[in-house]
Amino acid sequence: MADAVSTTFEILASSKNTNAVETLIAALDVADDTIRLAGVDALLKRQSQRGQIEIIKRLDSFPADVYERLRQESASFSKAIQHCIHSGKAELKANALELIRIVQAFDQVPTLVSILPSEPLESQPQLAETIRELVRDLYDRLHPESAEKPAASNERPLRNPQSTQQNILSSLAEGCGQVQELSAKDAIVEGVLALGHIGHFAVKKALWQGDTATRNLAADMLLTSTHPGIMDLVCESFSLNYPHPQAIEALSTRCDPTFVNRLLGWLPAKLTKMQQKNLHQIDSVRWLDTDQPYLSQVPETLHANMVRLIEELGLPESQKLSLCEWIVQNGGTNGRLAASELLAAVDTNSAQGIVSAGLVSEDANVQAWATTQLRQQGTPEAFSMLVERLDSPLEEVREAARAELGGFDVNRVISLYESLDPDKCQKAGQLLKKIDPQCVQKLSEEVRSPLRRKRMRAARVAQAMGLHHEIVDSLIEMSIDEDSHVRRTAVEILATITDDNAVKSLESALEDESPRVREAAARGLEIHREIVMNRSSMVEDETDSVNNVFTDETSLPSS
Amino acid sequence: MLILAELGREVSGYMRRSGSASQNWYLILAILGFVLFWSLIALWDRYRSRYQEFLLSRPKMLFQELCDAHQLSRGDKTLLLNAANSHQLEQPATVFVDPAILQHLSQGKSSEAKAYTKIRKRIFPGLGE
Repeated sequence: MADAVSTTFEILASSKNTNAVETLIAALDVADDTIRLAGVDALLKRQSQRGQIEIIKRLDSFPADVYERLRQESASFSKAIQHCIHSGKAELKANALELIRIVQAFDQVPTLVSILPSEPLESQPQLAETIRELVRDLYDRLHPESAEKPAASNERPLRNPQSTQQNILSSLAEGCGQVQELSAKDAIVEGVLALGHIGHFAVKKALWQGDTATRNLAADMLLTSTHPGIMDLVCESFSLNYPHPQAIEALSTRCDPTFVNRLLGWLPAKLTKMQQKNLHQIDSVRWLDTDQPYLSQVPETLHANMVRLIEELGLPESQKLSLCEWIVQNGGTNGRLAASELLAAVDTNSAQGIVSAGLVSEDANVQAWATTQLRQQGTPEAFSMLVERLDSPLEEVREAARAELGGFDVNRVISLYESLDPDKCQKAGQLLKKIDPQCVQKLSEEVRSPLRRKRMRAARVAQAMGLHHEIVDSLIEMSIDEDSHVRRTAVEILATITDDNAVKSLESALEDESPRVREAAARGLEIHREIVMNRSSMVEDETDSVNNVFTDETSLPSS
Repeated sequence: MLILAELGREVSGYMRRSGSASQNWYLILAILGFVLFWSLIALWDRYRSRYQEFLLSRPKMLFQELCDAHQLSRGDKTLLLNAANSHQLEQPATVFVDPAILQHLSQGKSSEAKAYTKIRKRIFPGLGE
């Protein structure tokens, strides 16, 4: 805005002259938007009730920028709004209601509720709609995590949200019995149920103590409303000794995804005894039916909660099992894990049946899950089945089998070494390589252990498992150990390896200071020579026999 | 408070000691004089505030305030007042908030129209050009 115009409006905003208001009101009707906005601004600064009323009168004619300014000054508008509501002029009242919505004037709710019964029937829905909108806005402000639209960054925080909530609830509770028009009553009851918690007197009044129309309306809302506050009320009902019958009915019959998701999201990590008792009394839930499409609408993130709910409900065992099966087939990872725990608690035989079916499923994730369940569900021959699955073509299944057999590692074999016969040791070595691809590296680390006993034992285990060929470097390192016992062990094992480096290491050991090491090295080299000679004679034999074959073939007469 | 209490004690002591009203005439006179002085001050203040209110309720005073803020000359003021009168405005200050008034008057080729154009550009620079 140009400086001269700013000067004019600054003077008009601050002047003690009472005519400034009249002049500013005249500015509101000027064609130029800049002047009109400056006029609104100056009138808001003056906080003149007459000016505010004139702004409300022209509310429709202002550009949207003005609304933000009005929102900032909402606290000062209270009296002007009330004046407009009580003015008896329909247009002014409509504008005032619009302003109440724009500036979220929550303090006006008691006024609106109090004038509702005396309003003509045709104008009650308009008032009711304003009340409904304010209640929703207040709910969103009190529960930003459930808000449909995110809060504006420049939104003014509520001064005392709890007190505002209490005032509104008290006025709504009072209005419940007084308002007769249906849509108005609906808005008021919705406000009570949305803003109040289950123990609040206003909620109790609406659900249990009010007149029949109010009680029926409230009960109906528990069954149909998608307002998050009302759905939460249904859930909270299960914390009471005697939940509202319609809350039980809602849980049993409501299938709308909004409600189902809210219910599953609400489910506390640990239910109270009262909640457990109440949920256990419910033996039928419509959406928990594998033949219906509702289950597939539940997001995967809520599958674990769904399993917990199934566990707590008093559904027949067979239904629980089929639901678990459904989750195993269609659920997310967390859901499957939760279903596994539930399966174990329900029926072992059926659980094993589900696991067996999962093992041959076409879905890799289901197969992987079933693999994880083999031991948990006590499936016969679980170990051998797991070993088989180490060779599965599906990576997920191999990974699951590896994880399940994770306890069978290098350390475990080292500890069991004495109790295993040579054949089993060889098999254990092969199995270990499948379970843990890092096992050779771990074995090498064991061979380099600072404890002499551990080094020797690890080297012996590697030999017994047939993995010594893969840790030659570590064994060569061991052959120059400070301890002669360790050197001797290394030399003895190196003697069984046909590797040039191993032979070189044995040759070096011939000059070892320990006679027993030298002796072992000499013996080892002798064994090597024998092996080499055997090999060359075998090669010669093979060459002879091949030559013979050729000779025989060439000696055959041509046909 | 202590000084007032002390004074009160002295006055009551004096009254107890003195015998007749004739002996206290100068005290009574002083009190009457004080009351009279107080009343005059109160009356003056009341008159002053009423006058102030009267001035503040006059549309022309607001007009004057705006003219001063814009540092307008006597000629400009007269011109603006004429504009307000020609549009029969109850609030002459309206000419400062409604560019259409001066815009209307600045149309034409008379010397007055030129003066209105000049003053419009000064009060509403950049508007309605």
